Amino acid sequence: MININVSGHDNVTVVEASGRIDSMNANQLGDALSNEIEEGNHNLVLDLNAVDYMSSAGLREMVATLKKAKRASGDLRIAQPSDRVREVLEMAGLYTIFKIYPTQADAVESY
Amino acid sequence: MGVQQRRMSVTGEIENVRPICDFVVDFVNDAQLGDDVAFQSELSVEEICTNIVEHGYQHQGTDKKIDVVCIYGDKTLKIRIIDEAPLFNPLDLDDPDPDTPLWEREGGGWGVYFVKQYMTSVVYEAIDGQNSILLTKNLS
Repeated sequence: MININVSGHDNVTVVEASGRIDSMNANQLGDALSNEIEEGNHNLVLDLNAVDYMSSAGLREMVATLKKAKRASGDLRIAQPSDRVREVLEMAGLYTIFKIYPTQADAVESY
Repeated sequence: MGVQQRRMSVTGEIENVRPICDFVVDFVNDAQLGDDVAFQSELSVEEICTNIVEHGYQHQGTDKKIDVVCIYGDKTLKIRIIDEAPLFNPLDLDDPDPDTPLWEREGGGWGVYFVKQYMTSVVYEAIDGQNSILLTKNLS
């Protein structure tokens, strides 16, 4: 089960996900992020504090979205990933690809 | 405590990957192997089974099966996953490079890479015309 909440903060859109992100529902996260970019919201923060499980399917959606955001001169920045998410991000070498912040406020203010 | 063993058989559909994961987590938890082993086993099984459904069966696995056998004994967890897709050894694929720059990343290959990181060994065999992946995790 994945829950996704989207909110606007001036020129930044925050996408908060919770639950587990796996091969059966990762497309929901990808769709939510892509919709924001298509609507012109190119500065994204993805808050992963409440995500307790993420497999490669979730990472694939995140990388695809990061490329879309950068093509639109925006970015996808990560806020407070949980320990499990941090582990898979590190294994895939994504800590050097994404900008990652300890709090949601830090990520929002980074834009 | 002696050897514990459980088996599950489902059709090769994406909807069945979650029940397989739950089955494996329940087995690991009942054997009291800890949260880390549960997470690592769950993720490994999800990656293997998703590959079977998406690439092996190409989402046409309604009349095909995935068999999963969990065995724990002598401080070793073994999970065997068997499918009926055309023979293919996913371990033959090159590992992705974690240092790959963003624009050169194509998205695939990370699942099997994660499995290799989390398990002590991963062995592929073709047995009686079926694919068999044996995941082994030593816990001593």
